[in-house]
Amino acid sequence: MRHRSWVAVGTAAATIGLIGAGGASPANASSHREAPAISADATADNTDFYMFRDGGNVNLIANFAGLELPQGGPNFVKFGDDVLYEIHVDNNGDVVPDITYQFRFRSTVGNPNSFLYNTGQVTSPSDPDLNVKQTYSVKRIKNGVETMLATDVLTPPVNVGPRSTPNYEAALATPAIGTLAGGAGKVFSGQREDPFFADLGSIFDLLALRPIQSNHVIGTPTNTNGVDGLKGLNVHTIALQVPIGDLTSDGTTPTTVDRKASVIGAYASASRQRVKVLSLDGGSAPRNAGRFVQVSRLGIPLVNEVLIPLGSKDKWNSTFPKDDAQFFGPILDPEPTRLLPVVYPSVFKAQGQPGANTPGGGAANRPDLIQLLTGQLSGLSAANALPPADLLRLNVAVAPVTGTDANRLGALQGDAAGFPNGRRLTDDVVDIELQVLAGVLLPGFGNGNPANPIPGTGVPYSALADGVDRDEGGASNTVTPLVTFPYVAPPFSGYSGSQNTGTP
Amino acid sequence: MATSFLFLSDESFVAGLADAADWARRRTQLPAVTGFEITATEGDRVTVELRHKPGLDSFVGLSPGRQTALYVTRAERGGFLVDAEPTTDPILPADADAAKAAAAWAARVQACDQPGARALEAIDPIFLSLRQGLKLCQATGSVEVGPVGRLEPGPVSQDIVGQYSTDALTWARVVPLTAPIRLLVILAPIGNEWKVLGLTEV
Repeated sequence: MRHRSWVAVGTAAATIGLIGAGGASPANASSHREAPAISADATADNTDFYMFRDGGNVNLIANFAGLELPQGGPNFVKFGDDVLYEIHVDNNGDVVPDITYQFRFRSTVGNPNSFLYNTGQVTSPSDPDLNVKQTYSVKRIKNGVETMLATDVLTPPVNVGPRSTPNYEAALATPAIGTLAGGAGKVFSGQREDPFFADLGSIFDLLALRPIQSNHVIGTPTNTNGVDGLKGLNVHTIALQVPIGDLTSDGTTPTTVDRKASVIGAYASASRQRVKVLSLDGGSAPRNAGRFVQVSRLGIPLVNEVLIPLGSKDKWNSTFPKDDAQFFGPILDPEPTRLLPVVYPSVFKAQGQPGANTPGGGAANRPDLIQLLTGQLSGLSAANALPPADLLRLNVAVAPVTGTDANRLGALQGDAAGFPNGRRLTDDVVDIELQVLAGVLLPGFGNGNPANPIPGTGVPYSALADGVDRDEGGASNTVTPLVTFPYVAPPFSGYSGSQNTGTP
Repeated sequence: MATSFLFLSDESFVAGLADAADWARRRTQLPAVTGFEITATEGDRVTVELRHKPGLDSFVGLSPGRQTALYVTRAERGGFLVDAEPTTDPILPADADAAKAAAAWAARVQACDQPGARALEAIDPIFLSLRQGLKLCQATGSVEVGPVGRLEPGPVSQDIVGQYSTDALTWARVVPLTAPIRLLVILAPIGNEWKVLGLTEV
């Protein structure tokens, strides 16, 4: 029985692998290099967006510049001085941002005659030995009213190594936490460890899932644990913490879960100016002109990566959630779901085949995806459903629960405080969405329980997993989020060779 | 914002405006209008002097205290509607005042009066590209400045353009400090005054 299950799941893995080969791979998850244009522009590439409560606050965390090598000097990764970074919040359910937080960065070079990033040991964010400094400003646009929340906040240096940036967290990162105007909020922007986890390497290899790879159509003899493809890599994080009342439409902290005003929807974006002119002689930086246009956006993880066809991905990045109806065709008829019976014929049967056990497409057949897009998986009843859109929804009336290995599947494990009600750093969105696309939430399929078998098989929906359940993958080298703001763990140092060791 | 959207011409949408949300988003990239005065009309062209709270930030760039905007109007739907994007020109203080501002700032730095100098700067900190550091404090000799010029594309302007876009090449001014040390002082128009935006070597 067990062997049969593995065979079945192995076939499913192959199915997903072919999906990846078609350019819509969960391996791109969450949004590292997910679309053609933005894959060539890491600085503006929004890789992940997280939103979760902590006490009376909401934390909004947007990551950029994924797959960042810690030792990538001497010109280490930094935020783009020419990029407009934004976090948008809709609090009245019309899918148009009511609050937008904007971030603009500015770099300064202390000594242009040196190639060094730092000319000595850096002991504070403002240390003169830090040759390349970056500061930023934060502006809020709330119902059309603009307020400058912070100006010239220092970012910490990147974590170069023990000689250059000793005592990194206490001396460099923590002092770089800024306070927003009015004192009721915090902000942090800088290099962190990439909290996203997925077996990128295996999934890209024709979507083999290591725990069951012996059953892959191109089989490997031995099954192994999954390997976090982002192991040892950093990212650049913009983290914002604001009181719940700053985000809700009436300024209060709601306590009633099934109430439209209790749910906020958010996404992060990056924009560039329309015109970029390169210098003929290379003697000056490119010149930028014109208004900013959006080049990247991210709300619900994996929507662009898995559901939007390759030819529409760049368009998706340039459009706004209020216009998402144009994409509902592919979203509600997910290509991965349609491919399951093609590549996994021993387990999955397509609609119209005897023993059909994969969901059909369209709104009538995918109420689970409708519920995801309308906030019903964030605690709202059908009567209070919001307009469908790719917004990460957070019901702020739901009490927060700390994310752990035990609740990594969020709502699939009955944890109402986890994804898709917001997204914590520990939520395993790859496994969750693999199982959802296969129909785990649907009546007549998984009936909402990952332990239930795929109809007509002995294979539980929970077997659709990449085998990477936590950041950095294994139990021995797990990176745990901080328990306080900015939550995202400290970055790996360049000196550590972390991509080989997986240790800071 | 919603009301102003209703006054936009069909040509605005032909030119790329999508909807009210797009209109609101575009406005966030422009200085907030605090007042206006119609100064001329000629056919379907209306010239308006817009007033803003003067400032310079990395989100909207320069907010000139006053700005001339040339609006194109169109007879549509029984009245006149306005194209969304007027042609604008900031009304800047006189160029000659830029030289005075640079000299005043240099004099305060020479006196090692940091707070005094800071009051004459447009941003904190100013753009600085000096290999040898700023040796003006306690330098001997009188302050002398050369003729006012425009900020040109190139290494001198690249950081400023990176922050404020190519628009900076139209509104920034450059004043050479010829004594007691040689520097290029870059100035920005903040309201009716020129303030120091950056320094670079000659």
